[in-house]
Amino acid sequence: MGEGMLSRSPMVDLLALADTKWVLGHWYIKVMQNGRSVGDFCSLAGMVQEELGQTRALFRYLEDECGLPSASLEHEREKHQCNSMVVLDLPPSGWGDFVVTAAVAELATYCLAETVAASSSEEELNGLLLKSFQEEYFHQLLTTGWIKALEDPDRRKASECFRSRFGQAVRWFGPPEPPARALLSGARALFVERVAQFAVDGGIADGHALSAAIDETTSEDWENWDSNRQREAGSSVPGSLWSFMVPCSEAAVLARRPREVFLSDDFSTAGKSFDEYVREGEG
Amino acid sequence: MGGKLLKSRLGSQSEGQWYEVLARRTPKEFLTHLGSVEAANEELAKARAIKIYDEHDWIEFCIFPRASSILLIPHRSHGEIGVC
Repeated sequence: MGEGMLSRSPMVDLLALADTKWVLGHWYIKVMQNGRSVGDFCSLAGMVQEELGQTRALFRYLEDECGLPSASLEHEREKHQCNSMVVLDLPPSGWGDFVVTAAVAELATYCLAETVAASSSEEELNGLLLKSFQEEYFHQLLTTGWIKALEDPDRRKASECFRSRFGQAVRWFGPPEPPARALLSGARALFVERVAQFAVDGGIADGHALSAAIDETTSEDWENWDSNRQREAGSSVPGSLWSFMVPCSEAAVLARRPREVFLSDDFSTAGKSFDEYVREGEG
Repeated sequence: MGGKLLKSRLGSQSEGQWYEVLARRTPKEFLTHLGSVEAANEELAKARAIKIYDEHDWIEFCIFPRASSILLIPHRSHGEIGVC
């Protein structure tokens, strides 16, 4: 990482951001055909394109900055190395649950990205994030529109799921006191404020439900929390979700385009992984 | 996320109302009618209109609910703007 570049802390946050977008993009792929109209189908297709596009742009940026081999973040990690938001580990139980979860995940990633951008003076990263904000604007219009259009029983289901999904999403920002990183503390406050507005406007939660969810998260046990992964130490995304994101059957591996570095050869031009890069920074 | 978990209800729900889409590229042009989108509410209409009609760098782009238009000369057969 060159002089004047970002410290290691935002790199960890950017990987959590990219991994969450990666999983979210695959959520949209899975749910696309369950949209309530052809318009929803088309909107979800656009959201997939944008989430995965942003993911790859962030992966490429991180690989360049951290001196990692090209495409290594997408193809050379295991499921326990994916730092996505825990709220996306559990699949949606219906359209109402999907809309609520997508909305909180979109808002959480947006708030973290906005906080990273505000603290960064690096042109390349800020340009990349600015482009993502333009795309995210539409995602928020869509999730807000979907919430407002919900009718029973989907609306009832959305309200029921909101508390747990929101609680898991707040937890993504880590312990409130003391925060793992100052940046996360600012992003957390921004997220809580925006979700409150969203939930009240959408009619899926009142102030009391929001306060209860926040109190629950604040009092949770943080002993096993891995602040570098923004999830519990040793946890991993479910195997079925991971194999959907990175097909690893023999046929799928054979079908992949040749890359600069092959994991099967146990050879890397960089000689270190992202985890090793982070550990070096802490040492 | 294994298997498809949501039941498709494609086409089983009314989309809501129609919104007309207008835009212009330069200050000298008038607003031109580009087409219409159907959506359940204003947020969905905005998102769909901008995504569907993003072929130019518009300097002005707007939508309005078809129901809010004031009819002066009704269409001979239907009496509604934009309906063939």
